[in-house]
Amino acid sequence: MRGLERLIVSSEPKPVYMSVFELVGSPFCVTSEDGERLYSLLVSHFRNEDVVTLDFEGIKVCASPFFNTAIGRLLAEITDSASFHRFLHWEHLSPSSERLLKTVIENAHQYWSKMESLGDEIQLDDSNKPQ
Amino acid sequence: MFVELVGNRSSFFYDHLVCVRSFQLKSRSRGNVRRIYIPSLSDNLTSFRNLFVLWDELLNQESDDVVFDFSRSRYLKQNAVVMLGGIARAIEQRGRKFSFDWKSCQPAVLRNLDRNQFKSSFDDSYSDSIGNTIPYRHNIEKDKNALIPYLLDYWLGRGWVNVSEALANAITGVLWEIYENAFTHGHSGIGVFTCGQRFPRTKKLSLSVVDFGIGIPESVQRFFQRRLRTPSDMNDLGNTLRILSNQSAALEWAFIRGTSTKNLETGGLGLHTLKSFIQKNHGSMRLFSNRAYLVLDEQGERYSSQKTRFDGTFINITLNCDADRYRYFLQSEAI
Repeated sequence: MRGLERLIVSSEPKPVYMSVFELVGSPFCVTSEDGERLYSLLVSHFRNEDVVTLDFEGIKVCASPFFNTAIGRLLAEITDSASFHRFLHWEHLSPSSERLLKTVIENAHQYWSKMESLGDEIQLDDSNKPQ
Repeated sequence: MFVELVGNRSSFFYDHLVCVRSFQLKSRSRGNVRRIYIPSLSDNLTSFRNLFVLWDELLNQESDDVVFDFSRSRYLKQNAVVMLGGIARAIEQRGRKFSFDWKSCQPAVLRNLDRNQFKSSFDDSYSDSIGNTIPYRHNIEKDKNALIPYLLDYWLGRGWVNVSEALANAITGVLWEIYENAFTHGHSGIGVFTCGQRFPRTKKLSLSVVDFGIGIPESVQRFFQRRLRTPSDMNDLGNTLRILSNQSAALEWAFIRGTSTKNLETGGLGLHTLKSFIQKNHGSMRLFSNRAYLVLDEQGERYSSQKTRFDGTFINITLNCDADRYRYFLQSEAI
């Protein structure tokens, strides 16, 4: 147990730097399919307790399907806002794309909060079922 | 033997008799080839209705091969162009043949079909000038590397709208939502059809996109049917039943921020973002899908039902070229 504690204390989060341009292969971050690829990488980095910086250098056009799939879905895994912002950072994103990303994040927070309360309702509903 | 179409119709046809009369759809069939006379088609609601009647006639009620005859058409706006292209490919997908009788075109119509590259996409001819058109395109797959440059180069990159590169990129991101929506709800196998036009006198740009998928209201209603048994919907049973029984209510739901038909996925920003963008630009949008349609303009947004069913989604947006109409993008407010 003591050994495990020492391991946790001593393990620094690994910084990971990802070029979004290289990942999507073009200056356009618009499709849900590209978002899916980024999401898979982000989830595994989050489970490894890494800290990720997304570099949007070279990206010209962004659209909500990409951000929804890549980052909106991530908020189902990372429900705590502080943890999310500790885990994920971004740079070189144009002002309008950053506004869009923030809207997606806000929308996703609302959606997953609603799903969580709905899950409580379902559990409550199940517990009231006749045996 | 000649067969008059008008004498042999279902009750559905008689519902639309007025449309068909104005349409001059007195097509005649000789053997298994039917000649369809395309009328003049503009941007008004009657023209849209005529296009949906044509779609229904040729894809749901007929099984003959088709020749499109333009001799009765004095003008064809981009709405007619995308729909005709889509209908032709849908006929082909069903194993039937089609052809366009280019020789029947009046000179102005032929010039327009030449410039918007509709003609060359079917007969491999060459057009040396595209004039004020945003060329006709048929995209079978969601290819961002073809569609985004199409919007950037043919729509925003020709000096018609005086915006910076950054602003053009932001606008393109919003317009992408139309294509994402078309391919998401599409599933038709024949892809998405698009064409546009610039109107120099009124300083407006118009873009039309059509898919032949299940349609937005149908998609929303299927979603509500699937989740009808969840507690949240039981709490809001009245709203659920209203959406399930009314396609214009289903269409309206699709435009509410944060609503999505994807199960356990965030979304629902695309159509809302598009609508907000058009409202701030003081532009307009008409969207037809299944038995519902939306008209969005300076008077507001109006969701209505239509008698003519269209299995697919047809979006036509018109934007102002005036750079002042885009300045809000540079401000800090969210879309």
